[in-house]
Amino acid sequence: MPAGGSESSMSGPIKQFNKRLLIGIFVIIISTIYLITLSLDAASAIYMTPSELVSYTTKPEERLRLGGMVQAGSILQQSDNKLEIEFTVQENDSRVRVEYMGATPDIFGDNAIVFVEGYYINGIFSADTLLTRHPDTMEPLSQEIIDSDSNDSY
Amino acid sequence: MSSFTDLGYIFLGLSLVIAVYACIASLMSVRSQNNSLRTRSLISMYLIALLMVSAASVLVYSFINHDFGLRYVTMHSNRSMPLYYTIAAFYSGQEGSLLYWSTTLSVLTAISLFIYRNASYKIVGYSTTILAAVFIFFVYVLVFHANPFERLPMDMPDGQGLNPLLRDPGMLIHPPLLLAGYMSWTIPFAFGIAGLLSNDIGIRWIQLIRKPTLVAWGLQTGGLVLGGWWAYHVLGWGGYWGWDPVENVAFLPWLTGTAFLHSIMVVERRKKLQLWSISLLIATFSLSIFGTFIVRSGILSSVHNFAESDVGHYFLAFFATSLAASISLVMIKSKSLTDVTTFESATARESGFLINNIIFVSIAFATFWGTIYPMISEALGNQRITVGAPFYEKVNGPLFLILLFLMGIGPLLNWSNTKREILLQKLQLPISVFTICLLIGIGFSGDIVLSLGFSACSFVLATILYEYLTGAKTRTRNSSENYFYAVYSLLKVDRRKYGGYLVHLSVVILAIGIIGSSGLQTHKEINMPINSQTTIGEYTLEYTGSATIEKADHTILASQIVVSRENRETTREMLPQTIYYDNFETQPTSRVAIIPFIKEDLYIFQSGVDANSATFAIFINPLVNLVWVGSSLMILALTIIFWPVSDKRKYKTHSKSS
Repeated sequence: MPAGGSESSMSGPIKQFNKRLLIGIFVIIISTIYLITLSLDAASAIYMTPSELVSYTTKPEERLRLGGMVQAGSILQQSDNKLEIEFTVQENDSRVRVEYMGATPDIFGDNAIVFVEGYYINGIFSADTLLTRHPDTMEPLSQEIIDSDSNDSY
Repeated sequence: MSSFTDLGYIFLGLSLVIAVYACIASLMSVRSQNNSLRTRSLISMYLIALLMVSAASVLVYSFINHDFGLRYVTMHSNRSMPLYYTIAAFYSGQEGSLLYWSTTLSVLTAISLFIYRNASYKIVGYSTTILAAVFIFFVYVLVFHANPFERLPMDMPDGQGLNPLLRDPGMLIHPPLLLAGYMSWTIPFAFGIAGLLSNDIGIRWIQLIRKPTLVAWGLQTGGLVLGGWWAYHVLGWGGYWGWDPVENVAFLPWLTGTAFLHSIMVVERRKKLQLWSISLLIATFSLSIFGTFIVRSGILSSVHNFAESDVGHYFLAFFATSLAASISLVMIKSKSLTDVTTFESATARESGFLINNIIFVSIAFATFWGTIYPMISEALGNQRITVGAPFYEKVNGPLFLILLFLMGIGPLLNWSNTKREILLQKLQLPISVFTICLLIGIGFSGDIVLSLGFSACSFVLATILYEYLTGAKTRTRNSSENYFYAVYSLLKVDRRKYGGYLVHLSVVILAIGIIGSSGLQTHKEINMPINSQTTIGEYTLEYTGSATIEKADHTILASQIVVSRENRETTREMLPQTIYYDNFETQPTSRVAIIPFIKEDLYIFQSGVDANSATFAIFINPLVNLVWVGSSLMILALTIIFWPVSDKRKYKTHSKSS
């Protein structure tokens, strides 16, 4: 960020800043920081893989994001309302049942990598958003791809 | 065949060697004032452009020729792809896009150095050094870690084909434009640092740096807009901007670059904000490298990560080195360059620009923070966090709103100081228009936020109108021109000022489109049995059935929906589709069906089809057309500003502005 330059130029020999202007700048910066801290918690979700979620004691109001692979053959569509679906997200031996209502993205299906967001209540993950990952790799989707999302390498 | 593609690799290797020579020679030419050395380093840069274009041509030729002995060609194309996708496959993978990056950089470098070869001796020399250094990094990665000319142990009968998601007309232009946008910030960066090194940051520096900056800004803008266009037509969630990490990192250099475009006007007219401007330029270049790195490394989880590989480490190292070097240079030079930093009046135009810059940087900071916060949080041993779109909307929304108001006030301010009475008098029209719009908006809808957004747009429109009208009035008084011709000749005489207002006008149109389509969107997701009907807005939709169509390399699953509109006789047909490409059966891609009515888009995404029903996501996106109109106008306005001025007129504008 270019803060370095501004500070050094302000520390120059001549500095005459209009008070109202200075206050204006100050207000903008403070309110930006305030907005950031205020919105960050409200708009963020804790990211978990199925194995972490299974062993995690959640608070019902805690917004979570779950990433993993859709277990083959686990997708169940309600017969009376086809928008209501249930499926299992798995990672190795850990499995979480997810319920979701809405249209699904293109790639959604068996073995697709999905990210769902919502709340984990009584062993069921109730999702309100469903995203699929668009892989650019030619290799079959492997567990490493999910793991690479944890950004461990940096 | 094999010897032919090896030629591409040889070209790359030669470029690397010559670039190292040019880098050292140009630096020595500045130190020793050696003219022939300087000429030789310039010629080296032209030669490199030639070699890189040749290398790129070899790869393009291998694609057209279906040389499946080449690993990269095999991975990204096949025989049944149409020619335009075969050529576009060139930049669809990591190696190719890096080759594209460095080729375009070498060409733009050669053009810029040629145009400015007679500019200040030192600046040209130092620029050559910096441009060669950046180039060396990219070609080094290409030669040693991402060789697009790598051969397979044996030739393959056919290739894998292009990632289905990339098979869209928008994809032919969006990635190359965005990468070119990232790349092109290198030129103003090099000129900027060269100015700093030669202690020459004045009018001459501004004149040198302005056009390359406009080029970079235009390319970046175009890349972002086309990215939005592509997302809107392919991804099927009804929007064009999702605050996805990859989008954010492309937005960052645009934000700081836009701030820079404004701050150099203060440098030019008031000799203030010099170090600040340089810092913005460094930030913009670093963020461009950061963006290329994020897209190329797959470090962030994103809906569209493109590639994941070890090349990321090199980018990180390059990013850190260039940033550290630039910042140290600024700190060393800050003493000798410390400018007059007085801002005595809050109502001076330079103060307006300063506030504009603070807001742009605040938006950039918030976006940057939201994008990297998950990484920081995890590095600190906390839980892994993802930051969603609401964060950016809540933080950046209000900041953009202030920016809109500022856009309505700034142009009315005079340099150094504006008398309160004069400002209030000039603001009469904008404030009345704003108040009327706000009252009408709240009265009709009751939605304060939306009304405020639209009224802010009307406020800016009024200012632009006021500026054009007063300018035209002065002209009609002084000459026999009529009003319409006067408006046209304003553009001719002071293209920067009135062209700039045209850019502002396009931004307002874009803003109206964004506020309308995000604030007034309606949507529903529905499973429809065959021959059933549903209504949304003033439209009645009937689903009449689905069919599969076999094509050469793909299968299309299309549904037919008949749309009738209230009080209209005619019906229209919509065909949302899902396409399954051969070799990529598990990665279907969508063709969203869109009818662009004048006031809104009817947008249908097909989510799933079974024996007797289909599931759709249906959206009504009001005013979304204005997003595309505004952004096209922005590029057009930029072209008008950029269009070369004839010598005679150049003299006129100069004498006027000085």
